[in-house]
Amino acid sequence: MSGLSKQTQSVMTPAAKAQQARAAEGSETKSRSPSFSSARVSLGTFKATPSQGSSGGCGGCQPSSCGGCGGGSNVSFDPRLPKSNVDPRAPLPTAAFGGSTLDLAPAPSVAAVAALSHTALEKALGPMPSEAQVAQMAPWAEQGKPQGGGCGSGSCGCGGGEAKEPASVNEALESYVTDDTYLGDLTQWIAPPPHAPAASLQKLARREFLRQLLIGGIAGIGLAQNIACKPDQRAEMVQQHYYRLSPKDRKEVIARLEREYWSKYRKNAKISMKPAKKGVLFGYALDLSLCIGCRKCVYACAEENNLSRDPQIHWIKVLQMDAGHGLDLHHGTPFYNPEKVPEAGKTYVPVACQQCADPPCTKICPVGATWREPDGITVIDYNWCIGCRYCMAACPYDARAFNWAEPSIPANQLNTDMHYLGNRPRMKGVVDKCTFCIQRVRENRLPACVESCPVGARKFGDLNDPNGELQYILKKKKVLVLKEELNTKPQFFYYY
Amino acid sequence: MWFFRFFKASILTMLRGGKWYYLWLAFLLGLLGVGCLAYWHQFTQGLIVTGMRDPLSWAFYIGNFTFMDGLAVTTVLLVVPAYFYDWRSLHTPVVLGQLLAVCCVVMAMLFVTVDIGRPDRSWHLIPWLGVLNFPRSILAWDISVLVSFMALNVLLAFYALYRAFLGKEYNRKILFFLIALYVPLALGVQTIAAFLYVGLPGRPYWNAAILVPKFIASALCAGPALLLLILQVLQKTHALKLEQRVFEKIAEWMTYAMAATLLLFGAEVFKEMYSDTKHAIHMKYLFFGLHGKTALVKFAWGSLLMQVIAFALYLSPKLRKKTWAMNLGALLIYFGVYLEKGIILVVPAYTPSALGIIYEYQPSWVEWSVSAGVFALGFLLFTLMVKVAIPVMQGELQLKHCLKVTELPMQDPELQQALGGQKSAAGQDDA
Repeated sequence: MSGLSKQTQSVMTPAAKAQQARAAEGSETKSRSPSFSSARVSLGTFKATPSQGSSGGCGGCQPSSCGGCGGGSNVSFDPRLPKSNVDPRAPLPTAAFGGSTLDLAPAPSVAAVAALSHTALEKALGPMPSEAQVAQMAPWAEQGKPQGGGCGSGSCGCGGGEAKEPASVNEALESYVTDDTYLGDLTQWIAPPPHAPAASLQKLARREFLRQLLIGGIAGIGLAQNIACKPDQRAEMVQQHYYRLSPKDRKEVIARLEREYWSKYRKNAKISMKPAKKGVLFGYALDLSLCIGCRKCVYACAEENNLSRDPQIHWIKVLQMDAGHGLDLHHGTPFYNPEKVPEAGKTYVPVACQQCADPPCTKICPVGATWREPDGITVIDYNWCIGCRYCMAACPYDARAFNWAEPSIPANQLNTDMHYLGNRPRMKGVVDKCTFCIQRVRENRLPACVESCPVGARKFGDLNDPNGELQYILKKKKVLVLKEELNTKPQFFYYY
Repeated sequence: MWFFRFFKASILTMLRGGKWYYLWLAFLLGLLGVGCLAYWHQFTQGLIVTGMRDPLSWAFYIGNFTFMDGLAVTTVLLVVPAYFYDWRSLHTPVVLGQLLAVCCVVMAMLFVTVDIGRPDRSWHLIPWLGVLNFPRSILAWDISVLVSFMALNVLLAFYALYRAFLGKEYNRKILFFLIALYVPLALGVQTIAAFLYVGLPGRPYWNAAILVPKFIASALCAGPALLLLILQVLQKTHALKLEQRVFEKIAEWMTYAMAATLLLFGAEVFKEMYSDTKHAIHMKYLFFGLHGKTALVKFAWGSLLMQVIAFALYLSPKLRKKTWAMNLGALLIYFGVYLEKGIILVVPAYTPSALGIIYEYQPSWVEWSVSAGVFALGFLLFTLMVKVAIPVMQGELQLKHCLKVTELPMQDPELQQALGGQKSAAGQDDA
């Protein structure tokens, strides 16, 4: 158990730091709490239904289709996998779910949160601490009350706070480069130095020009074979690394991608490049004792993140474990297909990207196409990845998936709400992975898997928020991480 | 100065040959064509046409890449006695070995190229133009080391050939300097190739320091074995003149390397099997199969058996001097190591995968064809280069044979001396 406390500590330290930082900043984080607190709401409302769930309603849902693992549908990994199971759109029973899971309902409103009774909370979070503590960990209860400037921890949910969002990509980039709490491991040498003197900036510009010339030359050679190449394709061929794109380049890239998706899906996509918010460190917690293995999260994830339907790719793999073997992964399989879940003698461990604080997958990328963002999310620039799959060899959690063939998404199922580093449709031959639904969480929404979980086993929030739900779980629950001995420091915690 | 002559003579030599020479070239070109077609299929359809999938994302191509990395360092055994101790009979084998190394590095790089999903974005690897994640990524190290090693091989082989073409002695100082670079760089190639795997904590089958010496030892078995076989073929086809002692010496060095390989293998098996932790599951899958999945068992035991028999043959100095025993041993050790690097090194690390998924891998026909194409290209390069290298090294193709009387260099006393009294014979153009 000593390891566990170490884990907790490693998370606590940045939290303490951020707390100090925020005492000075004040208003920055105001807007976060209401929406993250809705994790507790979903947890509260859904918590009321697990018995229904397991008795055949929603929990027993989905005599589920092919589990994790995005292999080609034409090659089944396991004889237990029936051929007909490739369709992720098999109808989902919706009885206990109040509608369809596919209809990703927006986070419950503040009013709904306020109306939440303590009993529901108690059900959700187990034995409740004292009244004072409840107030502390449920800042929404204070909603609407005027808050003093000092505001204790400085991060409670002072309702009316407007998100201070960068007005333009330009501003966003600026705020990014000058962000000194930056945790990423890449930009320090890809992006120009933050406070470069004018002369060296000029030099940089000249270098940039030369680089463009050279790239142009390379592209020219490529194009000599294919004169009919369209300008958009040409632009894609010579596109630079995400952190080398100027604000103008970024606009052009977004416009180009939107044109591309229009011609492919006839849908107006909205692609964001919203950077990480200062001081936020996303974390995830999953209650192992609640998970019933229904795989609703798996399919909600596929819908939300535009995962390829054929060949089928899944970012979440729910492992069915033999009871009595704990987390021994050699006693688990993602390929299970019962009439009803949960089955007797089985437990379930959903695994997706663990968003390690020290990710083995980013340091080995030969082209720096994958890195950890300041808010703790490991992302991939799909336009920079060369598809060598070294990161897949390095990942101890099998969290990365490769697009072995051209991914296919039915046009009517395309999620048009996209982030450049997240759920925009990928191309053949690149790696993709879970991003905590970066397109949602950076807009203060919850990941799709959290919203879709019928038993409220999934919790998401800001680890730097001392009063947040994640910190509560870390302090009060028995928390563990997968493959702790590898020292990857996951920000994805399992508890029971 | 005479570069142009050298290239002209080389090209003319490459284009001339007997019936069997042309047939061999046609065969290699045909194989290359098959490889290209298969690769086009893979390029357009995606890597889905291979046997690889998410739980097993590296396989045959990367195994071949690792094997080629190993073959490339063959010559490191020969350069030191050849140049430092000036053993003249080894000069030709060393140059041939360096040419072989060039081909192997080319093949290694091609195997990586065919393995990646977006070869059109290879320029992302070029520093400054793209981003080479150096020094953090071991793959970036590997690319750097391979490129420098290939450059050094080209330089050394070209220098030796060009001096021989001019009929001049090589400059010992220059060569000593290059050799002093060559040995550590060659060992570096193998070390870093091993680090590619060792540095991944999530794959316990690879995450073992013993992989580094094992890589070096097994490379020094397979590489010289191939060289031994190739030299004998060249004796028949290209009238290569070599002392028997060269073969005996190479075979002797191989024996040491084989002993080291087997010892290191034994150490690894003991550590895994005796401690019998969860991590031993990969080795158990390899040698005994898991849950009825036994695709690799025959390769594992086959490779081990081949290596042991080869070692037994080579252990007795009397026996390994006999041609049949030497060749059989070389063949066995070559294929033994090929299986070990090509399949046994890569596949079990993913079986079971990090989440315990057991996916049985079989190379698809596309992988076989593309790999055959890459091998064909490597052999094609080697054939063409050897066609020039042997006559040049044996003094049968020299500048003096390519010059007209009027072109004889009067200003270069050294060259005049080299040409000696043969001015009268220098009338004919080309060899």
